[in-house]
This record gives sequence, C-alpha cells and structure tokens, in this order.
Amino acid sequence: MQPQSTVALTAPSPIRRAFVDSLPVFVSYFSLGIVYGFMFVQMVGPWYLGTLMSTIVYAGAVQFLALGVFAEHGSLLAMGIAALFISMRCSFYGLSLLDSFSHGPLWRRFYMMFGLVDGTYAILTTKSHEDQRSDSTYALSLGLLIHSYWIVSTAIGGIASESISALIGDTIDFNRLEFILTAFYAVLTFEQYRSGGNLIPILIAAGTGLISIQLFPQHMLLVAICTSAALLTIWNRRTQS
Amino acid sequence: MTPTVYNVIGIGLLCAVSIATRTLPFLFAEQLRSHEGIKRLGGQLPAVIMLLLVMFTLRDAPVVTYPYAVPEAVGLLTVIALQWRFSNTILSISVATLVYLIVSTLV
Repeated sequence: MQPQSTVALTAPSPIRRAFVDSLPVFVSYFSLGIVYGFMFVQMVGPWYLGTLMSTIVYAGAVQFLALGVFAEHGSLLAMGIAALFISMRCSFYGLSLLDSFSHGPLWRRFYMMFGLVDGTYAILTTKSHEDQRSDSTYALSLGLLIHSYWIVSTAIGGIASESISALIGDTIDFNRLEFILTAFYAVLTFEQYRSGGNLIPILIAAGTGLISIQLFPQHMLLVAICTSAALLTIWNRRTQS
Repeated sequence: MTPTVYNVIGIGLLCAVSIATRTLPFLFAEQLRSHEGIKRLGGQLPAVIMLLLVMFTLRDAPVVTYPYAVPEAVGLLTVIALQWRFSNTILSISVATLVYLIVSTLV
C-alpha cells in the first residue's frame, strides 16, 4: 500500500489538465479560425499572410475587422484606432491576473500576457481553476495550446480556401457557427455567477450592455466595459463604507 | 504602396496594438496590485466581460423584426439549462449550437 505515490501517479499533469480545460475553447477557436483563414484568402491574400496574422496579431475581433479594411485598402490609421478600441478590453483582463503573472522568466511572462485572449482569460479566471492559475506550467501550456489552435486552424482554412474556394464558398454558411462562441461565453457567464453568487456585476453588465448596443453598436464592448467598471467601483465604494 | 507592403504594414500595426494593450496593465502591476478597489474590481470583471461578450456576439440579431431573435434566445436558454443541470461545457455548447442551427433554419 502506497497511497501517497498512487495519488502522485494518477494526478493529471498540468499540461494534461490545460489540454482538457482548453477543449471548449478548441471547439470554438478552431472552427472560427478555419472561417477566418478561409475568408482571409477570399478577401485579402495568400494563406500564409493570414496565418502570420493569427500568429502575431492573435485577436479574433480585430482580425475580422481588418479583413474588411484590407480588402478595400482602407485607411490603416483608422483601422489601428478601431483595433485599439476593440483590444483595450484585454487591458482589463490583466487586472484580474496581476498576481498570477508576476514571476518567472521575462519571455514567459511576456508570452502569457500576449496570449491573454478571451479564451485564455476565461479559463484562467474560472473559479474552479483558482489553484491552477499560479501554476506557471499550466498557464503557459494553456496559452500555447490556445494560440496553436488559432494558428493551425487559420492555416487549414486558408489552404482549404485556396484549393476548393469556389466549391465551398456557396454551399456552407460559416457565419452561423459563430453561435459556438456565444454559447461558450454564456456558459462562462453562468459559471462566474454560480461560483461567485454575486448578481450585481451581471446586472450592471446587462444594463450597460443593452444601452451601449443601442448607442454605439460598433464599440459597445469597450464602452460597456468602461461604464461597468466605473459603476462597479462606485458600488464597491458605497457598500464598503 | 504595393498590396503586399500595405498588408504587412497593417499586420505589423495590429501586432503592436495587441502587444501594447495586453502588456500595459502589467507594466503598472506594482501600483495596481496594492490598490484594494482594483483588486475587488479584478474579481468582478470576468462576469461582466463574459456577459458583454455574449451580447457583443449577438449584437446583430434582429430583436424587433422577424424572427425576433428567437433562435438566439432558444439557443441561450438551452445552453444555460444544460450547463445548470449537467455542468458539462462541451455538451452544453454543442447541443445548444445544434438547437440554434435547427431553429434558425426553421424560422
């Protein structure tokens, strides 16, 4: 009988856990990445440029926005400003993970910060993974896995698009698969509520979200996040004193 | 500017935006970490952002005209009910997406 070593042997490794936890993101990012790679070839250029973009820009919403600008040879400055508005929410992501990313070699910290996209953030901040958040092997594997899903699927979509573009272009409506992302975020909202039990952030988000969708449909995310953060700060101050 | 140069400059610009927006809060980590209000906010923001992402992905759904966002609503109800009952993320997402696709094809 050696219960200690048995536990050690059967406990899943951080890499394995990261893989299992990343599966929902795999489903959504991989299908969306294929769509992106496909559309990039249809609208902009060769598949490897799209794949390069998924590697070093690595921002779904920004990349889809860029498709339209690149295709029309629109203003790069305007695109940069719009991208800044869309990406600024990632600055808020860092606020939840300041402690987790505060140690380790610089390259690893930098890569993990760069890899802090919606999917990574969502998994790292899910309460059930709290003890794993500071596990740097876990966090790094998660970042690398999710990044690679996005890169590989873009390449697959792009190559497929170049070889069979005419055939597939008219027969499949890829846009509707975006609901996978919606469902994924809905699950995470529900899990955040279930683990925290605090309805106030959810109510504030619902209110600011509905209003900013009406007023600023293009920039609703940034506007609603800023407004929610401000309202929550006020709420926290009032309930504290 | 040739199309390739234009594309490469554009991609480089967006890369810079990604790096800047993601590393920025960590540059000020020391000041931010010691701030009690920021800490509390950091704990509450995930729920806010996740719900806003749900709404963001649904922003083009027609609410006041036919089909009144019925497929989206049915899909969302399905995903929440399944997650509440079974806590299996993959199951919830795949079934709900299937339901969404079926309903949006029917209406």
